[in-house]
Amino acid sequence: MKTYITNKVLIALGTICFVLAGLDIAIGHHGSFGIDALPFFYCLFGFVIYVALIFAAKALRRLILRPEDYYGRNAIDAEPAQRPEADNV
Amino acid sequence: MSDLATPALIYFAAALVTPFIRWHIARAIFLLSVPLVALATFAFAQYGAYSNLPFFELHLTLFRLDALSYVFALVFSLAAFLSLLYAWHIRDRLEQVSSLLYAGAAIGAVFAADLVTLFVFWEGTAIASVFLIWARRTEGAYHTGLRYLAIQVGSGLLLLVGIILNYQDTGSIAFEHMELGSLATWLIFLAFGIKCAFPLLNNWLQDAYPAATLTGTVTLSAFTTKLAVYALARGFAGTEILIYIGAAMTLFPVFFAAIENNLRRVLAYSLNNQLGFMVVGIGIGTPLALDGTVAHAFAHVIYKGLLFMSVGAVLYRTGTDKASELGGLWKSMPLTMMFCIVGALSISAFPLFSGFIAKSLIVSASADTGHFIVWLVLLAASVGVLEHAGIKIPYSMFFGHDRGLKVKEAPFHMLLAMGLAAALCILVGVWPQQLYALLPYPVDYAPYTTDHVLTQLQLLFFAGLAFAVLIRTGRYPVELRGVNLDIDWLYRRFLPNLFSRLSSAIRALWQAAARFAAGRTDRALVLLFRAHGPHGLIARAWPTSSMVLWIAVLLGITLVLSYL
Amino acid sequence: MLQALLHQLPVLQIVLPLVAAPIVAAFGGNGRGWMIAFATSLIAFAVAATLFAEVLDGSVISYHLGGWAPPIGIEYRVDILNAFVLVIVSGVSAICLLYARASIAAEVEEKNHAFFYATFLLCMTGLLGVTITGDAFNLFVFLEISSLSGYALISAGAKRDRRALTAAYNYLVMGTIGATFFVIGLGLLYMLTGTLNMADLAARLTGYGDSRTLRMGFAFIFVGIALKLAMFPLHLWLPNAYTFAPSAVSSFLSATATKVAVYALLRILFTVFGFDSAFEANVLRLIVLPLAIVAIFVASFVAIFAEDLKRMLAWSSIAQIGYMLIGIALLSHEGLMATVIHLFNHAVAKAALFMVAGAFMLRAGTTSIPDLRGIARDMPWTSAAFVLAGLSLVGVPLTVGFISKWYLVQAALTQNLWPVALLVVLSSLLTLTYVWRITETIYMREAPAGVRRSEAPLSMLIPTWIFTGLSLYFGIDAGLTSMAASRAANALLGASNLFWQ
Repeated sequence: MKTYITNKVLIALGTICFVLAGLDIAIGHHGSFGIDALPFFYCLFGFVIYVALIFAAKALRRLILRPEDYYGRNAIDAEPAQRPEADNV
Repeated sequence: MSDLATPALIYFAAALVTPFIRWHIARAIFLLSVPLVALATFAFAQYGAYSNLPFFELHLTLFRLDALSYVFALVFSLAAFLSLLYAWHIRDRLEQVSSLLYAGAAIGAVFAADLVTLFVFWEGTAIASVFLIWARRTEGAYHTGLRYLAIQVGSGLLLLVGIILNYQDTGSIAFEHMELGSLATWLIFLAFGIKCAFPLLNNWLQDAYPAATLTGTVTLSAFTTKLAVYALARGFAGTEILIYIGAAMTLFPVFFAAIENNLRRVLAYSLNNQLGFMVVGIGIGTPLALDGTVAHAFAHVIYKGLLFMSVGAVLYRTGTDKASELGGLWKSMPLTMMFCIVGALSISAFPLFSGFIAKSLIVSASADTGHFIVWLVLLAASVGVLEHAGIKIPYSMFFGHDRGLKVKEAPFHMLLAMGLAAALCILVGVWPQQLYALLPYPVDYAPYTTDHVLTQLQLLFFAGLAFAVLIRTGRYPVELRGVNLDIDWLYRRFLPNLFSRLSSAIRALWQAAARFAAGRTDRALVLLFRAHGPHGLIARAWPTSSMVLWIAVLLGITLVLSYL
Repeated sequence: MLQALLHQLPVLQIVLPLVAAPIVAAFGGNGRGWMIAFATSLIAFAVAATLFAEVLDGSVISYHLGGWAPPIGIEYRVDILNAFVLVIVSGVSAICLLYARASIAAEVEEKNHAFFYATFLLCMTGLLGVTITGDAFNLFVFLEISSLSGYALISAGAKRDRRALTAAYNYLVMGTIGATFFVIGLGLLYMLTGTLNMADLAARLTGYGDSRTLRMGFAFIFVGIALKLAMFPLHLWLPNAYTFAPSAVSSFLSATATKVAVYALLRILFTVFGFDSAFEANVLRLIVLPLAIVAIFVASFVAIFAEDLKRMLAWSSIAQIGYMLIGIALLSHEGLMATVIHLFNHAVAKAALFMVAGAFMLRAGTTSIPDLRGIARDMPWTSAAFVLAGLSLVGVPLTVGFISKWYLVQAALTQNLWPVALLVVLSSLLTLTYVWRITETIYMREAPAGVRRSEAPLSMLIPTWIFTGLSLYFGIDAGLTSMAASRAANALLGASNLFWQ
């Protein structure tokens, strides 16, 4: 299946990130606690937390995912899709 | 100004009239005018407390206008206008009336200067808003509405008990700053906390918001929780425990949002996370932090509404809001996509968008006051926001897996509402001073420093890079149909099961007891009826002589008593 | 000129309807009678409202009839308590008359209309007189004027049901016994003191101290008034009288006659005797309180089982009078406040309910409860008024009924009489039961096939909704009533003697 994250997108993103990281060297940034003043702190933090978050969420899903009709008819989840453009969609 | 005057009355009066306007276009125009008229009544008024109403020995003040209530009432009015514009196509009068009552009650609550008035409007928002869920008219929505109502009304009852106890403690019902300490203030705090979706008290939010009609969700997203934020800011600013509650609130919904399939529920989790930022601000309680909370609430109402609108528009055209059924809509709904992305950039706090200039205040305040862990949590939560609201929402609807859906662009009025909201997001982001000028404390804060812009962009773009890498390597979680357990499992699954076991045991006992008692009660009722029924001893028309006898008896007894 | 007129207001209050009555009787044919009576009642209401406004600050107006100073001459005396009752009586009269036009046209024969309205005015004169006068014998005279005309008004229901005549006759006999007792008691007091002016009586009684004659007099007066206000078990005249009277009359009498009797009881108990007499407290605690509680429960049960709407409302009145008596028997400021507020509340709510019954009578031809099935479909406005006024009777928050029950429960609790408080709250459940029974019948039951009733005419709906609206308005804005009641209670208790001097 085709993906929207093509090589071009990847390269563009990579370039922006490269420039941003370069700016960190060129002008640097200040921090409030010391650790956040380290070079590339925000770059690494963003990347690592994002990946960690996704993996944690996937692990969580293994625990808590249930079929859509789990709560029976008291829930909206198992109801059939609404008729488009109805007043009560 | 008269005793009962509060801008909320304009909404209530309009709600009375609305059902009788037959032509639906006239009705829609009328509805749109309501928030504007109500706004005009207080937008240019002097700050102060206006209407005093004696009630028993208490004094109710229905209309207190100060910087805090002004900003909230202003954004509530904007939200009411935008959501009514978005709901232009709706002909269901029930939904229209309850939207008005709901918005009116929320604005009334914001202006309430005493706890009793606050309570009345507090319950008002609960009761009015449940009809936005029931308006969907499915069995699931009905049950969800009942759960929602029980929790919301329960919050109000806790509030009422707290108010009564507090009145006994302090002799005052004024709604001012409170200190946690007595049972009374804890109860009030808990009542606010339920409405504010504190961790473990949060699930009504994720349960109810996806169950409303698509227009109803947009309306719901604006008022209830922000009213709670307002109440906390007014009553419990600087309460330390709020910092940690808020930090937890920012973090835990992030994981649920990442794997949730229902996009409106994703946004509900996201809403929960955003509330966390505001609660942290209230907990820190410095002028900068409180300003941040108020600014964030303002920005949040608009961009969250915008995101709900974009999901709603997709739902309107396709009939579903599940990520697993959507994708590739950018070709057929390009404008909706653009507006959705503006909302996504705002909530992710990209520079030049409203989230950036609001959330920064809170994050900076946490750093200034030396809360390192909290600061770190907020930073991580910001990455989480980018994940589920900034990327997942637009990506799964407009890109992702192309499901070959052939639909039309959203209707004009929806585009108009989204466009206005998007414009507001950008305006506030580019010219933050206009918003800052409204805040309760003078703001001496410059969001656009090189440092700040650079670090924020680094954070966001590297997170985005992580997303791209994960997608390309196939590690990004695919959309799966299903429901995810949350706290509501306790009361939707565990407790009902427990109760059904218990109740079958109790039922057996009860039936034994009832068989025994029924015979006796029947006999008692028969006796009661024999004496009191239409031809019974007492109800019968008695001859005059018996009356005379009674007079004699009574006179006798009175005399005896008098001589004792 | 205007100042002089203002000065004459107390006597105008009485003379106006008194003079209007014969005029109506003589020239009242062709609907003129109604117009004159209605106009008179409006003026009377304006007068009462002016008096109320004048004494609201706690001042007292004393008017000497014919310029003869009391105790020899008759004195009209207006303080906040009786000004409040005057407003109720004249206000209810005006609204009931507005309602009566259509209702009476249907329920009373055309040729009797002039006499009917004349009698109505006389009854009103009597009730206003009882309220305004400061002279005990004069009170008796007015009580008899109101009672006699009341009998006549009830018997006017004979066109619809001949039993109205027996009901009126029984009421006549019993009422006369009550009046006789009252006058005997008064005689005993006169024997003792040689005066009939209430203020003077009070002053001299404290001077004479205790005596058997005094206690005997008290017992006779108490029983006499107890009969007039239908205290259980002296209520036997009431159910039939209210059931068979024309609806407008039921509405008017239920809202005013018993209330004025309660007022008279308050005056005698607290102003003439002074409430610190030990024997009086005994009677109130040991007779009135238990009887009132029994009344509430017994009458509510009868109301629950009643088969006729008007009969149900009549029994409900007996129960509601029980609440007022409890308030008096508690002998405290809050208790009296509860009584005074409930006096107003019940007047408003019960008047509305009887009006609804009258509207049903007009359109459905019956007030038998089973025959009213599903009538809400045809008469939505009337039915809604019933539900709202019924809720006020129950004492649901945001209705007037809540305010007075609140004070009553508070009053019982401050004296540690929590069983009384509990019983009051429990009895509300019974009230809810009979109100719900009607609501269920008129809303939930299917209407009998093929039966259509039209909505009541506006001239009946508007008065009904005025009362319903009042019972809601004063439930939310309790300021005026509770202030007036509080001051009236103060006047009765704290300064019962001082004040009257």
